[in-house]
Amino acid sequence: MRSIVLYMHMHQPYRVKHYNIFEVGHDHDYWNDKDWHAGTNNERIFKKVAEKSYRPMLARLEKCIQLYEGFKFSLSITGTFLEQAEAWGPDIIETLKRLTASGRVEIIAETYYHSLAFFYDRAEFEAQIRQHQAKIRDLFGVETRVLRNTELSYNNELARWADDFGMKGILAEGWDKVLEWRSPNFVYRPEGCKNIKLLLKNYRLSDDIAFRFSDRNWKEWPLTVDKYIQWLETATLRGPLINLFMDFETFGENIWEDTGIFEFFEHLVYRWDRDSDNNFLTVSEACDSAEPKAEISMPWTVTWADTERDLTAWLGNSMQHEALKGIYDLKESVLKLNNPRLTEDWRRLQTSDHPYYMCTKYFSDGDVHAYFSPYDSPFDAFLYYMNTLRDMRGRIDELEAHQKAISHNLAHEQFYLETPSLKRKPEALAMIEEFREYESPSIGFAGLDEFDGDYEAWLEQRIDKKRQNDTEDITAETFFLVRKSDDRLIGAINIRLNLNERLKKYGGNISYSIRPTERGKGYNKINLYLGLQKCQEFGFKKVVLDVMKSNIASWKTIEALGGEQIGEFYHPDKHGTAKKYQIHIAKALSSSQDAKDIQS
Amino acid sequence: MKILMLGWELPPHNSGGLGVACLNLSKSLAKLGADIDFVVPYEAEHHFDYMRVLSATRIDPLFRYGGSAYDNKGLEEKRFRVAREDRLYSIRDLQRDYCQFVKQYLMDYKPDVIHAHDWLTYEAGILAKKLYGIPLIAHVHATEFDRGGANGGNPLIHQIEYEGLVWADKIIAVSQATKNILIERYKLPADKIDVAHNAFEMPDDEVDYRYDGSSYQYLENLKKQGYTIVSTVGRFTLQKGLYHLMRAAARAIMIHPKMIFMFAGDGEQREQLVKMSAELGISQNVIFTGFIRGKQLRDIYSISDIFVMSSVSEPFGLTALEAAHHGNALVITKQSGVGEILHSIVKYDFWDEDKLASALVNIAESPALGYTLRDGIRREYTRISWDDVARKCIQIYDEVRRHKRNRF
Repeated sequence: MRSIVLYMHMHQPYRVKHYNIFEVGHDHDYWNDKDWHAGTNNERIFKKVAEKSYRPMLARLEKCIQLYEGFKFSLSITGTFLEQAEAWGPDIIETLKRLTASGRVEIIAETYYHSLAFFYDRAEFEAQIRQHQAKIRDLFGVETRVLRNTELSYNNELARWADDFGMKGILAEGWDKVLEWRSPNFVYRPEGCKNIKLLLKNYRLSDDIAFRFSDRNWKEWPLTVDKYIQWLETATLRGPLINLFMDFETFGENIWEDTGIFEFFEHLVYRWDRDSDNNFLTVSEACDSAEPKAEISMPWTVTWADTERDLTAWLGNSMQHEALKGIYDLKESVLKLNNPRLTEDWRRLQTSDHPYYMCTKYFSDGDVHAYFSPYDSPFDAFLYYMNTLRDMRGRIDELEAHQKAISHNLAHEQFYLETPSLKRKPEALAMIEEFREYESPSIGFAGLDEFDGDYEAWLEQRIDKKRQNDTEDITAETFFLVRKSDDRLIGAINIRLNLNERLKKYGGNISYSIRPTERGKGYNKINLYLGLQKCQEFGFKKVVLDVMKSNIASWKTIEALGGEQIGEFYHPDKHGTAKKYQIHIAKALSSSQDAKDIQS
Repeated sequence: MKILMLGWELPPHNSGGLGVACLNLSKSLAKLGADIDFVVPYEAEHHFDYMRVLSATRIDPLFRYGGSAYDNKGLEEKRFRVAREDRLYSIRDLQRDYCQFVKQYLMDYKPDVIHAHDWLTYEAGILAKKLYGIPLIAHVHATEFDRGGANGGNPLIHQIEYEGLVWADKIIAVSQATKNILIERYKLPADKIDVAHNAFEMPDDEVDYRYDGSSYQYLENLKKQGYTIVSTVGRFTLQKGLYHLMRAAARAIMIHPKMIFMFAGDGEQREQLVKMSAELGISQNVIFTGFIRGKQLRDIYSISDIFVMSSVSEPFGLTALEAAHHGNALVITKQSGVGEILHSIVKYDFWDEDKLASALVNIAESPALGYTLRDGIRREYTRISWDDVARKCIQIYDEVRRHKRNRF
């Protein structure tokens, strides 16, 4: 039996926009370039490649799956690709779902962020592998069992790690300097491993398609299916497996449609499938197809890149080392803060494309065009990247200070939330008066300002826990924030236990404010923190809340407590842009661990 | 091959890069067998064994203080004193004498090619072409559009420049940027213009130069305290974009206070620049050296860590290569010709103060970035050679001579 093991790699990074030093501390969005035409506009690039490659090629793959029963293949799809597809091409996710549901398309394991974490931090590497596995499980309902590392980087240590982790197989480059006289067409066993199997890329036959297909100076141009099949059959004399590994973007993006690459591919599948001596295998099936022929050792790292097959395009100069050291140095602080957006940004900055854009080795090769980069120069890539690291450090400091402030205030001043009662009448009305004086809306008071001083009437309505709304009744709890040291009312918080349609759209579960004369002391964080504790008592897992985009202090507070932004919309009543946040309560409360200890 | 070079200055009697470029080009051409007579508009002792220097007038080279190749105002009005004569000269007077001399020369000698450098000598070149049909190469080191900046330049110079370029059989531009200006502004056909970038050659008197750290002890001390020295060298004119540099300096210092900016040179914007540095509150961090040359200038290059070329329009920008030679990291505007042939530099648009400041802060703070830039540029600038430029010129000479033979 002769087998084609076709595996294609799908990846898009989040490129850092032109992020100058004056944005540091003001703009924490590194990814969304406002300039549509910029080389760093991720949305535009994704949509362009989707049009040229992802959609047309996936359509052909699906057609082949339907037409040819024996056709099978494997894909590695990074997490950053999936996120972008979810945002900018959800139909691509749907197609991938149909393909995996066919049972003839295998998804390969790798780091979620297409990172070089293996070479910097083993625990982080494992976390990203698991994150990727979870994402694949979540979207496609399948388990990944064969590993490929970023840029097909591989060494004995990686193989041993994968073996211990329980992977069935692992992929690497079939590089002559390692193989010597041996053929890449067999299943091998990585040195020192018990169970895992190694599949090696047949780089000649892979590159005939991926690099040379459209090269008119190539003596074999134009490559016909007849000729290629002949080569494949000759190659199988040296072993049954033809491992064709390549970038998915080969089809349509790197090699354009007008070269006939799509027709070539379809015809190749048809011709190979027609012969009963031939078949297609997924990577797992290939691993199962035979016992290892021999042991192979790669003590140093081998990749599928450049003529050197090493990592010098990523880790070849001191800028690249400094940048990666910079990002991994932040690990401890980032993970301790447990802030979802910070963690996500930190991991997106680990994507290997960032150091790749800083590569200078082609200056001496004179082969400048072999390296694609959205930046004018490697130095620009480095400038913008280092500025994001500056901003990350600033955010970390700010978040750490926030947490410290909460702990401090809870410890030294002691606050609690109190259910409104009659004895607070004069103070409560005075507080409402203060809001009025400062022309500041009293938010979170359940409309006390509308009762014209009739505190009792307001209270009665509070005791009912009901509040008449336009159409529906809303059950809500209102609390005053009280400072123990001088028994002073500081603010209020209103927690809605159920939401009507309107509040789902605008408002959310929680609204709150601090009286004007007590602002700027970090009390809003305490207010929200204690409010979240109440929410937990009420049985909430998560809460949704809105904040006006212009109210920077307020949304920073929410983010400091682990709020994730889930949307942005125009608020018709307030005539401005509002941000919608979601907070996972358990996570928020546990990340401020110190605060909790002190409180109890 | 007999070449008549028409120039305006040669080192050490030069006011800028024009003289340096002319000298190095002639030297390399001579190596390839060219027989060169080089005309200058003044009288001075020049001892070059590879070419003859001919003086068109008997005036003293000191005239450059009033008649430099870069002055484009008061061609008739601005007069300067000349040794050995009572007469006061203007640039136009000098040019007339220069033409007269060339005319006289051509009565006795008939060179194969005339190679004229910048508008100052174009009239003499046209004359030779008109009288004897000798092929004319016009070498453009700068255009009046560069010198004039937004003011548009001097109409008379524009006219002379344009005529010279139209009469020329072939034009050599020192960068693609300059070629583009000639095509866009003078509507010259693109195939008439070849680009030959300048190169860097260590000056003869530089062989013995060693930086001894004595000139700027104050700066040495600051460097020991962790300061980064940023320098720029050139005439303080609109063309050089120095206001942008000053504002970017203020922004960079805001983030990274340990930075000193050296403005080496002089010019019409000097007072305004001094005032600006005070208004921006960074006078402490800005040093004006005045016009310097020789060892003093080299010491500036040596002590400086980063060299900025902030030009709004720079046909080439030889100072950048000099700075690279002395180990500077280069930050250069996209509007400077020298950037076309270098990779290991940070490029920015002359108006993009944010990016310039970003680059300065990052180079100051990141050893890796500084190292990669310095290490990379050191490999690059040495690869650019005047011999390559000379070979290109010889090709062009052959081409125009062939063309001439076909025509007559």
